[in-house]
Amino acid sequence: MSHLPAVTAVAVVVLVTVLVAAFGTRVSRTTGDFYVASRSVRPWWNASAIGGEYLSAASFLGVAGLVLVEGADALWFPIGYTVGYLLLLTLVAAPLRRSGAYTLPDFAELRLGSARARTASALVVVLVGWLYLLPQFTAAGLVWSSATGLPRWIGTVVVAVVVAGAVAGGGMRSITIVQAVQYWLKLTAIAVPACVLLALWGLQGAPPSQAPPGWAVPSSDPADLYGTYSLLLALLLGTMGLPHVLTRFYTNPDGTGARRTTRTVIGLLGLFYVWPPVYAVLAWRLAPQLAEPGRADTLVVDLPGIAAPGALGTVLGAIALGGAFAAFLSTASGLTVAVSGVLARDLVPARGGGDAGAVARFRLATLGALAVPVGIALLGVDVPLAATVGLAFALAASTFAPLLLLGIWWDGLRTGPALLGMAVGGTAAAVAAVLTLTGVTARATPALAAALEQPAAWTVPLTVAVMVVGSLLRTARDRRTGVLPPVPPVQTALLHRPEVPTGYVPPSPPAPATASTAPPTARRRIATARR
Amino acid sequence: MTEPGRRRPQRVRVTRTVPLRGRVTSPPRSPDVVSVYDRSLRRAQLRGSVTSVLVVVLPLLALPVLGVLLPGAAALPVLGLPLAWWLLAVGVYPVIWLVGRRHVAGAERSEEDYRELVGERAPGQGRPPSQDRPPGERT
Repeated sequence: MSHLPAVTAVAVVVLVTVLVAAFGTRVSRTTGDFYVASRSVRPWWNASAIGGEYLSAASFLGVAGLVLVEGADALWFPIGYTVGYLLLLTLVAAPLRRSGAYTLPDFAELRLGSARARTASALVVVLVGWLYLLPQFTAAGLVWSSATGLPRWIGTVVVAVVVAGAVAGGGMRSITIVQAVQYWLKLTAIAVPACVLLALWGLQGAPPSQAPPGWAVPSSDPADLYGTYSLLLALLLGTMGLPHVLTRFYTNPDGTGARRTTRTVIGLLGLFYVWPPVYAVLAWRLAPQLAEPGRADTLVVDLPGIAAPGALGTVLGAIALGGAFAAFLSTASGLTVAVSGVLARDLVPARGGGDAGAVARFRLATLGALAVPVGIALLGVDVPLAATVGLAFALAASTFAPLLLLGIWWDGLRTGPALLGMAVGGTAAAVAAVLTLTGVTARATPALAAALEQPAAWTVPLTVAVMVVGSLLRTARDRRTGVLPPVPPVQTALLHRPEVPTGYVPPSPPAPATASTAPPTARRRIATARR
Repeated sequence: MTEPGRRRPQRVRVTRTVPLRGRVTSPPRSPDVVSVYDRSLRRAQLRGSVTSVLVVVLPLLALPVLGVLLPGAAALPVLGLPLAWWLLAVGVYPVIWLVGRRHVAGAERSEEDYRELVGERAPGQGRPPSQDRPPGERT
C-alpha cells in the first residue's frame, strides 16, 4: 500500500477543488450575475486567484528540476516569471482594464477595429494555450507514476477529466475563490515539506556536497549569455500575452484596482518562488542521483521520500504531490476556459441555436481544447516542462506583447502592419517551437540550435520592426497621397484616463434608475458578459 | 420678455445637440475628446513605467555580464552558497515588489494630478477636458 498516501493527497485536492467550485457556483447564482458580483472582489483575493492560476506545473515542479540540472542559470526562470508581472503592472494592467477588453481577441478587435485582427488573435490564443497545456498534462502523468508507481495515463486522465468537468460545467470561469484557494494550497504544499526537510538536514549536519563546483554560480561562459537574455526577454514579455492571465484581470473593478492587484501578485509570486531552489539545493546535497533530465522534473515530489525516510517522508511527499495536482488543475482550468471560449466564439462559426446552442458549442469547444494537448500527452511524448512553457512564452512574446505595448501607448499603430507583424513573429516562434520539440535542433549547429531553442531574442524585435516600420510607411504614404490617416478606433490617451471614483452615479440622459446606479464599468462588464 | 404675450419669445440658436455633461466618465470606445491633459497624463505614466522597468531590468541584465567579468565576486561564499545564488534566488524578489509598490503610488499620484487639473467641478458636472481652454493656461 505504498501509494495510498499519494492517492489520498490527490483525491483531497480534487475534492477540495470540486467542492469549492460547487459552493462558489451556488453563491454566484444567488448573487445573480458573476460579473457584477466580482466587483466586490478585493485586490487581495483577486491577486491570490491570479497567483493560483499562474503557478503551473512548470513553477511547482519544473523550476526545481531545472535548477538541480542546470544550476544557478535556471534561477532566471522564476525571476522572469515575476518580472513579467512588473511589466504587466507598469505597462498594461490599468489601460487594458480601462479598454474594457475581456480577452486578447477583444483587445485586438477594439484597438485595430478589424474582425480579421480578432480571428488572427484567436488563432494565436489557441496555439499558446495548447503549447502551455501540453506540459501540464505530461507532468501530471509523470508525477503520478513517479509517486504511486501506477501507469502515467491515469494522472493525465484524472486532471483532464476534472478540468473538463469543471470548465464545461461553467464552474471555473468566474470563481475567483477556487483559484485563490489553490494558490495558498500550493504555497503550503511547497513550503511545509521544504521547511521540515531543511530542519532535518540542519539537525543531521551537512553531508558533503557532490555537485560540480560551478553549479551554484551563474555560467560565466559568454556563449550562454545569448540563451539567458533570450529567455529573459521571452518570460518578461510573454507573461502579458498569456490568455488565461489577461482574462483574470477583468474581475478587477477598474484600472486602479487592476494595478493594485498586480502589485500584490508580484509579492505572492516572490513568496512562492523562494522555495523551488531550496529543493534543488537540498537535492544537490542529499540526492544528487535525481539530477538527470528525466527524473529531475519530479524532484519536488520525490525528494521528501528520499531525504526523510519512513512515514514522515511519505506524508511530506504526499503533501507535495497534492500541491502539484493543485498546480495542474488550476492552470489547466484557466487555460482551457480561455482556449475553449475563443474556439467557441471566434473560430468555429455559429450555427444558430440561441443560448442553448451557445452553451452546447462551448462544451464541445472544451473537448476540442483539451483533445490536442491531452492526446499528445497520452502518446507519451517526453517534453521538458519548463522548456516547453518557455516556448509558449516566446510565442506570446512575439505576437501579443508588441500588439499590447504598441496598441496601448502608440496612436500610430496601423491595422495591416500590426497583423503582419503578429503573423511574421508568430510563425517564426511557432516554427522554432515545433523544431525544438520534435528534436530537430539536436542535429543543427550549436548557434542555430540556440537560436531555435530560445527564439525570443530575434522574433520579438522582428515583430516590433514589422509593426513599427509598416505603420510608419503606411502613414507616410497616406500623407504623400493626401489621404488623411484614419483616427484610430481607440485613441490611446483615453486608455490612461482614470475612472471617476466608484459610487459615482452618471447623470442623465434619462435612463431607468436601476440601470444608472451601477458604475459605468459594471454596465460595460454586463454588456460584454451578455455578448 | 417683460410683457408676456406681447412679443414672441426670442429664438435661441441650438449649438449642441448632445449634452456634454458626464462624458468625462464615458468608456474610451465613445468618440471622446482627447485633451492636452490626457496626452500629458499618458506621457507621465509612460515615463514612470519605463523608469520602473529599467530600475529592475538593467541591473538584472547586468548580472550575467558581472558574472563573466568578476567571477570571484559572484562566487563569494555566503552561508555555504555563492553570493550570486543568494541574489538570484532570494534577493531579487523584495526589490521587484518594492519597485512595483513605488510605481503604483506614482501612477496614482499622476492620476490624482490629472483629476485636479480637469475636475475643478464635481465629477460629471463639468465638460470633458478639451483643448478650447484659454490659451496660456499651464497644463
